[in-house]
Amino acid sequence: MNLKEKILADPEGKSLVNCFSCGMCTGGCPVARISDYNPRRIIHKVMLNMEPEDIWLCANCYTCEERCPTKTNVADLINLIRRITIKKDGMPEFIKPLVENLKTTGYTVQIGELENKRRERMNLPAVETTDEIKKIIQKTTLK
Amino acid sequence: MKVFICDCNGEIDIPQNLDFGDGVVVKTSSKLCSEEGKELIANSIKKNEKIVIAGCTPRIAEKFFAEFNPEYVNIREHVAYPGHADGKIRDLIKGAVEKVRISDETSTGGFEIKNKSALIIGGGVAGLETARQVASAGFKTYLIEKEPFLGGTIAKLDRLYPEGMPNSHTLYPLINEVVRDKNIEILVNSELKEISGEIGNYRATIRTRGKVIEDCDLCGKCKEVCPVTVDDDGIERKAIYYRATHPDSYGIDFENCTGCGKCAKVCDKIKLDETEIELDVGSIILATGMKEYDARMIKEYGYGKYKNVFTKLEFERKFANRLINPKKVVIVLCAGSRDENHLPYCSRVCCLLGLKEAKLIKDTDPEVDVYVTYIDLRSYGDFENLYTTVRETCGVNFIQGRPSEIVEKGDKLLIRTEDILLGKTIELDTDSVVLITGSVPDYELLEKLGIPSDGEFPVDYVNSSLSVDSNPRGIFVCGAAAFPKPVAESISEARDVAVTVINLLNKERVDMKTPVADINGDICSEVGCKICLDICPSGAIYSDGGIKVDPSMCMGCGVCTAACASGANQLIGYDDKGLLAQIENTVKEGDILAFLCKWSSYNAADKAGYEKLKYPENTKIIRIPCTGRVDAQIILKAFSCGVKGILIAGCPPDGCHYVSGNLRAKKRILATKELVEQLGIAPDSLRIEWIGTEESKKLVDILNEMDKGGNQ
Amino acid sequence: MKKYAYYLGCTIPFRESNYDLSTRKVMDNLDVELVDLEGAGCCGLYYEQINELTHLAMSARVISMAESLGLDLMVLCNGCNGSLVKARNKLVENSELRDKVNEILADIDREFRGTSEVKHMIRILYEDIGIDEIKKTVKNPLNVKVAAHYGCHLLKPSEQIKFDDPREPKSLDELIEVTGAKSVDYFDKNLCCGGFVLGADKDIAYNMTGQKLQNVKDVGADLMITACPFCHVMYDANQRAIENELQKKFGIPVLHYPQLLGLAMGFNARDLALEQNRVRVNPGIFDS
Repeated sequence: MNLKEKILADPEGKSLVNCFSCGMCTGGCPVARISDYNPRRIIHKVMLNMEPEDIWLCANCYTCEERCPTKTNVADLINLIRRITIKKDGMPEFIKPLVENLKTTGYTVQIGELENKRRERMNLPAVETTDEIKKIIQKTTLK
Repeated sequence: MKVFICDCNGEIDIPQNLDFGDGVVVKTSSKLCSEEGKELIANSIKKNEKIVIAGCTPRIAEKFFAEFNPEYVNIREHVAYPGHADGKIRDLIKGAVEKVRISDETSTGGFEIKNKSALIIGGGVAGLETARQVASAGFKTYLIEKEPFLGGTIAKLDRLYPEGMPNSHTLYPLINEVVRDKNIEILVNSELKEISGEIGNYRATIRTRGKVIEDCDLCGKCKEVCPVTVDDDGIERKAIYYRATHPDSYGIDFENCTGCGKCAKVCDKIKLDETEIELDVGSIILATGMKEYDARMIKEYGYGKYKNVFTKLEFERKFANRLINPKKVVIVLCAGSRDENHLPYCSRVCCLLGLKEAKLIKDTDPEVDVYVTYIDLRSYGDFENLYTTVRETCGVNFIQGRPSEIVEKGDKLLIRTEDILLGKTIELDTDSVVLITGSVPDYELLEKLGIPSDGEFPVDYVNSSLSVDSNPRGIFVCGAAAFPKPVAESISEARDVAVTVINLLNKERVDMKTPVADINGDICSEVGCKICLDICPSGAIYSDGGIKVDPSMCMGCGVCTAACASGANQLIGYDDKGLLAQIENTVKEGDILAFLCKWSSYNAADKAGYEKLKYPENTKIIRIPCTGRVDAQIILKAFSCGVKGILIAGCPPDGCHYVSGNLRAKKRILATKELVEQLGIAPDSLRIEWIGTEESKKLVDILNEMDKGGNQ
Repeated sequence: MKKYAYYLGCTIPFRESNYDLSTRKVMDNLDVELVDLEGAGCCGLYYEQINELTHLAMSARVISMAESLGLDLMVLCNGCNGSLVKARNKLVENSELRDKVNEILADIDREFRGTSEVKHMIRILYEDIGIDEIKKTVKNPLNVKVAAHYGCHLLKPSEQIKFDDPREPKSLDELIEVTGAKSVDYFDKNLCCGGFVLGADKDIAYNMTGQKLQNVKDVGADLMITACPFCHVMYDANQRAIENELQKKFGIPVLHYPQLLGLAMGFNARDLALEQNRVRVNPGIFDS
C-alpha cells in the first residue's frame, strides 16, 4: 500500500478526501507564514500519491483544523503521516533521545539528582522513575 | 366490477373462458385505446364502478384511460412480448381484481378554488413582478411588504450586475405599473401573522403597523425630531425616513422605532397604532428575497471588531454615497460559504456580486487597488463576460485562496491567506475589506407556510422537474427566497410562478393528480408514534390535534404507509389489504415476485419486452409508486405464498422521485433480510437493487440469477 | 472541599518546579486538595506521532491512576491536556480500542474505565471553582499590565476540548483580571509558542516565540502569563537565547498563572519560587 492507501485505511485518515484546496489551513498556519512549509500542499500531494515534504515542521497548534471548512483533520492527518513514515523509515534523530529516556526513566527527560534535591529544598515530593512506560512501549511496538 | 382486456390488435393471446368470480364482468377488445374502445368503457360502467384494464403498459394506457381511474394490468410488454405463457395473464388479472375488490375507495379528491385572489409576501422585484402579472390577468392581488417602502434589497443598491445598471432601470417602471393597477392592493409595514385553510381557500392574518401618511409634503420635521438613529446597512438614517420608491411619504421603520411619539406630535397625519386584517385568498406567494448571513459569526474576519471590514451592502452603499474613500480594497469571496462551520452550501450569486463590486469600484475610481480572493470563481453562463471585463478592462487582481484570518496592525488590515497559485502564505495589507457572505433562507416564513426546507433553501419544493407530477399547491416560493439568484432570473421566475397562479385561479376546481395517503385518526391515536411525520419526504404530514396528511403536498410514494406499524396510515390505491390480496392471487409456488417502481425499473421491464429479452416466465411484476412502499408485511406475505425470490428494484441512490424513498427502502429491506433469514429463507432470495429506466439487461440478468438460485 | 488527582507530566518536575510549588500554594488557599500520583510518568504526547496504541496506552495509564483514586485529574500542561483529553475521548467512544489498550495495561495491573475527567488547572479554576470564589481570596490586588498567552492545547482542538472559544477566549483573561491586573490585547495574541517544532527546526521555533515577545513588548505589557510549562520554557528559559539569535532585546518577565494569583493572594516571591524564573522579575512592577 502506498501512503494514500495507508492513510485511508486508518480510521484517523478518513477525512483526507474532504479537502477542496481552499488554502485556509496554510493561510492561518504560523509556521507557513515564516517558511515554505505548506499543509495544504501536503494534503494535496498525498492525494496525488506524491511524497509530501516538511512533515516534521508542523507545530501541532491545530489552527488549521479549527478553520477547515470541510472538516479535514489536517493536524491529525499530519500526525498520522508521521506515524506511517516512522513505521517505514524509522524515527527522526531529534525524537530518539526522548524515546530512550521514556524507556529508562518513564519521562522524556533524564532524572538527575540535582532536580530532586531542588524539589526537596522546596518541600515538593521527589519524582520517581517507573519502568511501566518501558513495558508499554515494548508491548505496543512489538513487530 | 368490470375487467376490460385488450389484445392490442391481436398481439396478445388472450386465454379463453376467463372467469374472475362473482360480480366481475369481462369484456374484450382489439383496440381499447380507440374512440370505440373508450366508448365501450364509458358506456359499460356505472358511476364510480371499479374497473381493471389489462393490455399494454400503463405508461401508454395512462394517456387514454386516466379519467376512469382504473387498475392497470400489463399483459403486453410483460407477457406477450417476452413470449411468456398466457396462464400468466390469468394470474396477473386475478391479482388485480382481488386487489380492487378489497381496497377502499380509490377516487382521488380535489379542491374548490373559492377565492380568486392571490397574496404576495414581499415587495421586492420578485414580488412586484408576480403581482404585476397576476393582477394584469384580472385577479385581485394583495402585496404585503414588511418595510415601510417597496423595492427590497435592490432598492438599497446602486448597481445591478452584470451591466452595472442602476437599480432604477428595473425598479421604477415595475413599481409604477404595480401602483397603477387597481387590482393590486399594497400594504407596507405589513407582515403575515398566520395562515389557515387550503388551496383555493386560505385565510391570512396580516398585521400592519402604522398607516401610510396621506399627502405627505416631505417637510422632514418628523425626521428631525426622531431620536432613533439606525445603521441601515452602512447608511445612517432615522427610524422615520424617506426612500424614493413607493409610497412617496415618510415611513416608520417599526423594527427600530421606540414608540416615543415625537413624530406624531409634529405631524397629526402620523399614526403609530397596529391593525390586524384577515384576507381570504386562493393562493399565496412567498417572495421575501435575500437575507445576508450574519458576518459577525465569522469571528476570524473581524467584522464588527475592525472599522473597515464591511458587508457587501454596507460597502456599496457607503461607497456610492462617498462616505468612504479607500485606496485599496480586498474583496473576499465565499466568506463563510461552502463552510461546515458556517453555511455549508454555495449561495450561487456571491461570486457575481463580488465581481460587480470590483467593477463598481474601478469604474468610479480606477486608481483604487482592488484584489479579489476566491476559491472557485463561479461566473456561470453569460456572466463569464463580467469576469473577463473585470480582469481585462478593470485590471483587478485575483488571488486564489480563502483568507484564514484578518487582523489589524496599526491602521492597516492584514489579510492572512495562502496564494495557492504561488504556493506561499501572504499577508495582504489593505485599508478596506468587503466580505461577500452568502444568503440564508427566511426560516420563519417557510415554517409559517409549511414549506419543507431541511434548514436550507426550499430547493426541492420549487423543483419543477419533480412538481410536474405533484398535486396542485396553492403556496409558491419565488425569487431569491427560493434560492439566491440574479435579478433577471428572479423576474423570469416571478413570471413562471405568476402563470401557474393564474392557471390555478382560473379554475373552479383542481383535482388531485396522484393518490394520497390517508390516516385513520382512531387507530393512529392509539399509537401516536408520529414516525410518518418525520419520514415523509414531502413534508406532507403534520400534527394538528391528530396526525394528518396535507393532500396538496402528498406525492403518493407510500413511504409513510410502509413505516406505519398500526395500519392507520394507508396509501390510497396501494393500501395494505389491497397489496396483500394482489400478492396472494397473483403468485404461484416457485414464482419470482418483482416489486418495480413505476419511475425506473418498471420501465426497464417494459424495455426488456420491446427488446424481446429472455427472462423467467414465472416472474410476476407488481407496479408500485416507490420502493419505499414495500415493508416486511408484504415480503413475509409473498414468501408465505411460496415465492422463491423477491426482487425490489427502484431508482439509483440520488435519483428517487420522492427524494429518499429508495434509501429508506434499502435500510428496511436489509433489516427484513435478517428477519427472513431467521425463518429459514435463503437471504439472497430477497434482493433490493437499483435499476434505471434504460437498464433492461441488468434487470433480466438479475431475474435469471434469482431463478437459478433462490428459495427451494 | 474539592479534591483532584494531581499530574505534573515531564517538564514541570525537572524544569519548572516553581509552577508546581505555586500551584500547590494557590490550591491550598482555595481549599482544594491535590493528591500526588507516584511514578506518574509521561502522558505519551510524543507518541501521537510515533505509534497510536502506545500513545493511547500511556495516556490511559495516567488517567487510570486518577480513576483508582476515584478523582478527576488536574493537569498543568497544555501538552498533557491535549494528549490525555484526546486519548480519553477516543477510548470512551471506541470499545474495541479500549479493550486493546486494557489488554496492555493489564500487564502493569492497571485498567482504564473512563470514569475520571481530565481538566486543565485553568479550567478547574474558571469552571469548578469560579471567579467569585477566587476573588474572595485576593488580598493584594496587583497593578500590572499582563499579556496572556493561552497556548494551543488548552483550548484546541475545540471539538475535543470543549472549554473556551479559541477564537475569542476569555477564561484566562478573566482569571488574570480577578487579581487586579489588566489583561491587555496585543497583536497575534493567539499565536503558538512554537515549542513543538523546536526539535525539528530551532530557527522556526525561535522565530515564533520571538514574534510574540516583540508584540508583547510593543504593547508595553509588564509581564507575560503562561498556562503551560513548555510555553514557559520557550518564553522564559529560552528568552536570552532568542534575543541573541534574533538580535533583539525583550526583557519580559514570564510568570506561571498561579505565581500571579499567588502574589495577589498575599504570598511572597519566595513562597512562589519567583527567583527560579529565568528572566528577572522586578517586584516593583506589582506596586500600586
